[in-house]
Amino acid sequence: MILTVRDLEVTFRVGPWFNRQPILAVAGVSFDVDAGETFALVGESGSGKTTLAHAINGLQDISRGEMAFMSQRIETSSPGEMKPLRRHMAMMFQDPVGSLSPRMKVGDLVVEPFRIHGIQANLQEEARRLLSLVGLSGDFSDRYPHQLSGGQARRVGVARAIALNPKLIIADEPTAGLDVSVQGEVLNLLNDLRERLGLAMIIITHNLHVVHHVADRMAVMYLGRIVEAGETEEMFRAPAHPYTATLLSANPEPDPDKARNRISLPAEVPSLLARPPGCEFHTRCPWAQARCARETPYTENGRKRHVACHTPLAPGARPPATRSIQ
Amino acid sequence: MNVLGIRNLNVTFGTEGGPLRALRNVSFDVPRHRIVGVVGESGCGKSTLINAILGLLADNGQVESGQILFEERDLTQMDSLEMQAMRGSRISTVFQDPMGALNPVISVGKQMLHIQYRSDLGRTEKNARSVEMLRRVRIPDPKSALSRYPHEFSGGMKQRIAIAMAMMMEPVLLIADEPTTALDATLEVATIELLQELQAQIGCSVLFISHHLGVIAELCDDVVVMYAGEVVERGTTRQIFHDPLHPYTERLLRCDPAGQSTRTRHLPTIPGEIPDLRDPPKGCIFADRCDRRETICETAPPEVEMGGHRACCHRVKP
Repeated sequence: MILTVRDLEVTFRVGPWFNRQPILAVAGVSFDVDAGETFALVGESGSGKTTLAHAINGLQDISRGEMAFMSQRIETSSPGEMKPLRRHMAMMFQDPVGSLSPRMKVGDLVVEPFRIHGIQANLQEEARRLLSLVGLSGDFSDRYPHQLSGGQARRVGVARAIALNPKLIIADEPTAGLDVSVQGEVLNLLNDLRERLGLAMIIITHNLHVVHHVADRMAVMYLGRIVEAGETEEMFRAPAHPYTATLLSANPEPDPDKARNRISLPAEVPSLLARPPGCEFHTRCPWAQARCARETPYTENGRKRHVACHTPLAPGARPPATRSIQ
Repeated sequence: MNVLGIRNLNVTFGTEGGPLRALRNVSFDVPRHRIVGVVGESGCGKSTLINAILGLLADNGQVESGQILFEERDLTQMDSLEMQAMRGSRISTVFQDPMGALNPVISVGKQMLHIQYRSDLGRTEKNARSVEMLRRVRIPDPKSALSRYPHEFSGGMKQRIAIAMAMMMEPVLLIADEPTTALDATLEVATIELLQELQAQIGCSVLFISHHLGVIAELCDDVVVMYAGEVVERGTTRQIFHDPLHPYTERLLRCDPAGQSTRTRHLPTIPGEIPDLRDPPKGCIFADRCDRRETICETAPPEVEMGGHRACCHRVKP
C-alpha cells in the first residue's frame, strides 16, 4: 500500500465575516492506492475531487482524518517533513499552460524539481532525457510556455511530474481541454510511463470514457463522499449505486443509432450548505424510498467493492416509472 | 428549403506574419427544421465561422469572398444596422460560458425584459412571457426567478436561462456554440434533450458547434466536419458516423475513447499538427497527417458527392 486515506474531512468557511458557515467539501473519504496501480476519482463539479487531491499533497489543511504516504503520516507532517515526501508524490494540475511559469523556458521548467529539492545532477542532460521520455524533441528546451500547444504543455507537465522518479502521480483532469486526437497521446504516455517506471497514479476526471481505458480501480464521489468504489471493469459492467448508473447512462456515445436507456435525474445538485438528511442522493434518486430520506446508508471502506446505498441495483436495473417518495 | 446557405466562404485575418486564411471555400446548408452539427478540433475554424455569420469578426478579420445566405439574403452584404436587427430576433446564439452570457449585476427578469425590446407587448405581458419561457426550460419557481441574479443559479440553470433568452424571440436560426462543454455529464444530457424539445416546439433550425462527437451523434440530423479551415466532409449524421469517407473523419471517430467498448491500454491518436494557415499546403489539407497519402494528394482534392454525402479526398471514388 503506497497511500492510505481514512475518514478524511476538509472544511471550508464561506459567507461574510459575521456569518461564517462551515461547508464540508470532503466529507469522510477513505481509500487505498497500491504501488503501480491506477486509481480514478470520478464525480461532477463540486464533488470534492480536486480538494481531495490537494489535501493528499499537503496543499490543503484538513479538519479530520488520517493520510499515510509510504508509511509516513501526511496530516501531522510539518512543511519541512513534507518536502522530502513530495519528491515521491508528483502533482499534475488542471490547467496545463497555467501551471507552467510563463517566464521560464521549457528546458528550465522540466528540471525545476531538481533545483527545488537540491538534487545534484547534470541538468542539461536530465532536461534532454525527460523531454525525450515524453516525446518532445530537444528544440523545445528553448521555448516558452505560450509557444506550446495544449498537448505539448501537458507533456511538459508530465515531464516535470516524473523528473524525480516519484512513486505516485496525482493527475487532476489530465485530458481537460485537449482535442480527442491529442487526448489519447497523453493517456498513452501516462500508461506507458506507469508500466516502465512502476508508478502509482491517481487520475481525477469527470470523463468516464477515459476512466474505462486507464484505471484499474475507481471511486465515484457525490457531495464530497465516495458513494461507490471498486474494480473499474466491474463497476462499468454492473454499477450498483444509482448515481454511478446515472453517470454511466449519461455518457453520450458517438453512435446515432445506439439505444439510449438513459436515467434522468429530477432536481438539481443540493447545496453543500444544506446537505439532505439520510442518503444525500435521495433528493435526485429515481429509486428513492421513504427510508432513504431518514437513514444514512452504511459503507465499509476496504479494498473490496463497496456501495453506499440501502438497495444496491441489480445489473441492468431500470428506474421505476414514478418515484415512491416526492 | 434552406434557412442558411454558406457558399464558398473565405475569411482571412491580417496577422504580423502575413494573412492567415482561417476559412477556405466553406460551403454547406442548414435546411429548415433541421439541426446541423459542425464538428472539428481546435483551430478548425468553428468560431470564425460563427462570427462570420453573425457579422462579429474581429477588426483584422475579413470575408474575402463567398456568400452567407440567410432566408435568401446575403448577410455579407448587409450594413451593421441591418445585421443588428437580425441578431437576437431572427438569428440568436447560445454561447459556451453561461456566466459570460448573462449580466451579473442585472436581475434575470430585467435581462429577459430587455431582450424583448422590439416587441410591442406591455411590460406585464413581457414578464408573463419570460415566466412561461423559464418554465419551458424547467427553472423551478420561475416567477421568483425573475427577481434573482445570475450568481444565484447553478451552472446548468444559467445555461438553461441563456437558452430561454435565445429562444424567447422565436428565432428562425439558433446558433449554439459548444453550449454543453462547460457542463457536467448529467447536465449535458439534460441540455441536449431540452434543445431538441424546444427546437421541435418552436420549429427553428439549429447550427450546433461542438468538438464532442457523442453530443453531435445524439442531437444532430446532419453533420459538417471541418479541419484546419476547410469542410472535409458533410452528410447526414448516420452517413458520417457509420460510413465516414474522409480519412480525417474516420480517424477522429476512432480516437474517441467513447467509441471503444472494449478496454484498451493504447488509445489511437492522430500524430502531427494542423498546418500553418498563413501558408496552407497547395494540395489536400490533411495530407501530412494522413496515413494513406499518395503523390496525387499534393494537388487539391475534388469534392465527391454520393447521395448527399460529400467528401474532399482523392481516394473517394463516386
